[in-house]
Amino acid sequence: MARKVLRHPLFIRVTHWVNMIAITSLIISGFYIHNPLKYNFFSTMDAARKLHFYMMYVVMAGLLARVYYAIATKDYQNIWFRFKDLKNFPALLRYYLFLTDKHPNWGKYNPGQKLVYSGWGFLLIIQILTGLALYKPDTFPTLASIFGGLNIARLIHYLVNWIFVITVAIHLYLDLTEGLGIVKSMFTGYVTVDEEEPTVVTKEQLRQTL
Amino acid sequence: MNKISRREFLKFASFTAATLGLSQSVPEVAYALENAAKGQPPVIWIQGASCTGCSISLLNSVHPDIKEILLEIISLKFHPNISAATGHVAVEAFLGEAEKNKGKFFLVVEGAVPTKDNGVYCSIGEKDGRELYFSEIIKELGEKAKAVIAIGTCAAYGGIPAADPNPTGCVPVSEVIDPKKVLNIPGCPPHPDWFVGSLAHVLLYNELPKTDKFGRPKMFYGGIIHDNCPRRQYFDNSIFAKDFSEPGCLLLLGCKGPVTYSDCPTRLWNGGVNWCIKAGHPCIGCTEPGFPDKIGPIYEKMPEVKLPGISASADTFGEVVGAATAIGLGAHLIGNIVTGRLGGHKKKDKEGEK
Amino acid sequence: MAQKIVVDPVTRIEGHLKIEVMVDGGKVVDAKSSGVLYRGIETILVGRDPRDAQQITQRICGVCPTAHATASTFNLDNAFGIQPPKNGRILRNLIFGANYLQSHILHFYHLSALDYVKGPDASPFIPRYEGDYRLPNAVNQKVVEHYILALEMRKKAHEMLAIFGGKMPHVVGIVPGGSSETVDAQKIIDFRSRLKELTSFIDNVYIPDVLTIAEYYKDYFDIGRGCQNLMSYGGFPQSDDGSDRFLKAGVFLQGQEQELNPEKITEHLKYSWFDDNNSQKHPREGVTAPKPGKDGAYSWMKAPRYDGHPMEVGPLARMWIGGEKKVKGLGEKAFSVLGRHLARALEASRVAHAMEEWLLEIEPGKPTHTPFEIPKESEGMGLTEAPRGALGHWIKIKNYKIANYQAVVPTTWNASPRDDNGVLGPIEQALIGTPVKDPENPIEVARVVRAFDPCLACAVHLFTPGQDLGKFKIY
Repeated sequence: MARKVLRHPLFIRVTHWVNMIAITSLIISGFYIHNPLKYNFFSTMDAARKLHFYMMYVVMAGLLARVYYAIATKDYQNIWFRFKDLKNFPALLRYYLFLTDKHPNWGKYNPGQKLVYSGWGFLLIIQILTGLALYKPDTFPTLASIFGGLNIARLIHYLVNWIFVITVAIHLYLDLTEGLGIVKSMFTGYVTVDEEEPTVVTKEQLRQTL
Repeated sequence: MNKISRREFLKFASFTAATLGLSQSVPEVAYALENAAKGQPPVIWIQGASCTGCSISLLNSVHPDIKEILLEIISLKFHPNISAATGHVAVEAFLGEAEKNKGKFFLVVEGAVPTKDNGVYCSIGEKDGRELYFSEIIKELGEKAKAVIAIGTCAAYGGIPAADPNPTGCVPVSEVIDPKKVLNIPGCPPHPDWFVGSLAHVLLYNELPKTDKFGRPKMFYGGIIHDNCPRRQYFDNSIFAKDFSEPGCLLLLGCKGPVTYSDCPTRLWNGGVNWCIKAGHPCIGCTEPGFPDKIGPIYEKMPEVKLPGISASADTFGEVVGAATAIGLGAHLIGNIVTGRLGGHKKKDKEGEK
Repeated sequence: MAQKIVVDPVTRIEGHLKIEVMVDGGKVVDAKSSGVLYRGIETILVGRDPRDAQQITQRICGVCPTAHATASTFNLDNAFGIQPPKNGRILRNLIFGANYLQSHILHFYHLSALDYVKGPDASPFIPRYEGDYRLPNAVNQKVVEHYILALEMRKKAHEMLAIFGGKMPHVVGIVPGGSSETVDAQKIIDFRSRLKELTSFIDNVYIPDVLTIAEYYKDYFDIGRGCQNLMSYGGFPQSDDGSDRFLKAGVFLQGQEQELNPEKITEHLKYSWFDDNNSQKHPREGVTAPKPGKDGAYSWMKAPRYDGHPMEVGPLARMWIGGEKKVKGLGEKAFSVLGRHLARALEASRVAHAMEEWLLEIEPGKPTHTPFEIPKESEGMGLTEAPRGALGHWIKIKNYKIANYQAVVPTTWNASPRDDNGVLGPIEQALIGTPVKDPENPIEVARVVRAFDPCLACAVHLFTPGQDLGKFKIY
């Protein structure tokens, strides 16, 4: 027996799409700023930098809102990667490597998703700090020195950007191949599920799983 | 000697005096020099793993010029390139003056401190048949000094001699002497104004100037080169030089202007004649800690990513990892299609359900 | 009985030097000189981007970074298979020439003069070796005044240098393929104005001052004879392929003038802490296999030899080989402390006058730089004349990175230890026979050593550290 369940409340949906726009713009403009001849997406450096800085504020606001929501609604229980999740990794890997068809129910997100989503939060903080150091080197000279100088901040900023590129690609790929229903839910909020397969996990269910 | 006669010389000499109008001022200078020592702060300058470039740079100071510095600002008790003293007289000069002016003199250290193998790689004199290793002497002088100025990137952060693989175990001065006492004036070499200005601050206000986390005075190292670069318009408008001597922003030739704190663009070098970027050459980031490793390669934007067994440019690194991911996802997609899993893990029995 | 005198540190030179001499009957009978700073710049260069060599080798020496910039760019040009355009060649010559003037003025007034001139009784002119200062008061004061004036002049030379070189010390204007600077009439006239002032100073103050000192210290035409073999690699290319040079290349060996053949250079190792099996090889094939504690050895410096002979390098060698009449006219007396100072002063004048001509050869608007690509594998050689003498750089590039970098610098030639045949190096030979009046104030020794304009940071950077070495000695 199938029924419709609210998987993504409006708040999540809005922040998700805002972040998606912001991060995509940041990655594209970031590549241009890194090497304007190779990644020739903009007319001028000025334009690319302006977009990069506007989107920097958007992504900072987006991150703050998402963290607030996660804490206020205890949504972090769904998304926060814990050490205990590590032991579920072998099962997930077996599934992804086609060694088994079994996809155990880990709750709203599987351990891989938890790792990536929590990781994004961390990496965003690194990007914000290195980015601010590079954006206002006069205002935040101490920030630069934490990373051992602006050049190292720049290197970190650039390499972490690649982690975003890669993880976003994986995220996109798995969403598109693993279930268009879930992709749809990011627009509508609802997903159709079997009774025995809840997508929103309660605390008790979570405890049983872990 | 018969080829060049005394008469010829005298002719030369009188011509000189007439052209340059020198002879009258001689006693004046001598008088000033003899009074120089009185009442002016004593300075002892020593060199470790250095190239003497910082000293030569100081000689290029314009206002005040080196004459004024020596006559009216400081009393230079010892300098390896300037002092008349040599041999044991030199050793007595820097050790004796340090003792005599204990707690009052400024110690200027040029060059990094080689510490490997107990510092045998640098000795700055001999006393009682024993080598005076630089690493030991600066500890001794550093304790007696009122303040220590680490001049140049080598003294401030290790610089060139401390570059990978750091063959002589060079460390910055602040690792050997109490860092609270040390003021860093990095630069390879530093602009003479950076040294003279910082010294002036100390003499005028009796305190070290405000510094950033890397111990550099903010008054000179407070902003980055890129923000004051005369070629900034080229950057904003995406006009990039592809070769030396071309107009345009030098970013793609490896310019470290965006990551280097210094006031070179506004201060200019050698009496305001020129500076690196004006001369069509990218900034090499010589005032930054980690120069030349963390700030190099000189003509590449970013340092190499070094992992065990791998050493690649940041670009190559990113692109290879990105390409590997793309290939991995492609392979997985084929796997998905082959196994008929495409669409999700529950789809087999839920085909058609919406 | 022979008495040992130690001069440590030898100040007013570039770098860290220690001299030990044995004095018997008021004369030096044996000499040792030790470089006492090692940084290992070549070790640092391995694995880096070849282009970085141009900047990093300059940091070998802050007095003549342009010499290393020039040698390393010749070296890289050669390895990359490129030639600078005419303007690029001239700009490099002007930048390097400006430092020649600066270096020679600095060497005479600020590094050497205080051996002959009594400064005022104030820091930094006291303390000093007391004794043999012969200039009458009025003359002495005039030279002291020129000492101050020369400070201004050498600064002007650096300002002039920076017009095309960007900044100094450690220039940026000399790059592989030419120069990073561009030229226009304003820069030329700016350069020329400063150059004229310097030329006037050299001709009317510097040369006369050398003559003044020569007047009062005539005996120094007989002190510091040395090996009397001279060598020059040639400096300041006058053709774009670099073959024709303003300062001529050549060799003066045992009284015979010869053409320079760089293949005849070998490095002797008998008295150096390196494996004997690699002795007498060309620097290109040179193997640096340290053997600390080797029997009979006493130096970390190799002994470069030309056709098996020790060679003096520097202004005296260049002026002699270039046929400068005033130097050759001195005959055997040219090979002396004063001969070296005089040759240096005359060379400064020659270079300064030539630079005026070079300025006129510039073609404004034409390119100053030839683009290049780094080859995957290549080899290069760059020979030039530093103010102190013959300077050679060699590079091996593998997989776009520096696989090996070697520099044989002027002071290695001049301050080399004995060779496989037991023949002393040029400075060692020059010291033998030097009279020492007062062992407490061995100013005569300092005069002989300083006349060579030693650059220890250059020479000692070459040494490869051993396991338990005490220090680096040139015996």
